[in-house]
Amino acid sequence: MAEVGGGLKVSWGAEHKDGNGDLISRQMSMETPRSPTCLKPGCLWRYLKRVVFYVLISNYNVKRVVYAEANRHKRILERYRTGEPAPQTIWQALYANIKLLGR
Amino acid sequence: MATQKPTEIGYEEIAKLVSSVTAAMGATGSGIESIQGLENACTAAEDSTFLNPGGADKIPDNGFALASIDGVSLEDSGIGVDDRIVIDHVFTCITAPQAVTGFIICNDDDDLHFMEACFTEVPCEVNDTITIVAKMQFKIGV
Repeated sequence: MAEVGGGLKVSWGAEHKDGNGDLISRQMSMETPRSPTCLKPGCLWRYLKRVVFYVLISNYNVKRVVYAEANRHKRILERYRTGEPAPQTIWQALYANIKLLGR
Repeated sequence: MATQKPTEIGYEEIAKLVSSVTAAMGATGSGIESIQGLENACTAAEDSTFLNPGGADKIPDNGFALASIDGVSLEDSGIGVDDRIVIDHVFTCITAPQAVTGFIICNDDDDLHFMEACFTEVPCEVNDTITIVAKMQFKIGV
């Protein structure tokens, strides 16, 4: 049987607000890293960076949501509630994770 | 040379069918109609069962029980016309506090789910809301 690529792609967002309509936390789906398109060292290196970035961002989002939920009645940086602006590089993601350590 | 491809217009039609077929039509399957919250440890998986989606438990009350979705509509994905299903729903926590770890989108027969989503636990107090936006696209691959 001939096969073709494709399928069902799903994405989601979830926003938690209190009874007054104030935002407590916002979460959304993340796409997993694209598979490497070739076996050359350059392709594999770029894939590895995408994986590392994905892990760091996922970790950061878990930490910031836990922090935001634990501080629902307190004033905290809005980016911990909304996730925006999100880290754009591996270093930014690493730094964002470190900032949340111990919070 | 023999060639074959699914068509964009075919994918558009699939989206229309999945968003509009109801149990009352008497077909062997039914489309998107319900949503339900999940509690406890949850990890989305393709081979999940309807009994324990994502390995989690379906919430039977507190505002997260199985309910008709507030809004199901179609939008353009940028590839086709009306080929992406958009689900909008607002859960309101009632009766007692509830920790929520995900949700499932179910068919009109309420015997299976099209998608499951697991997220970082959200501890809801009474009168809190969780607004869900979910999108499903029957996608042409590379």
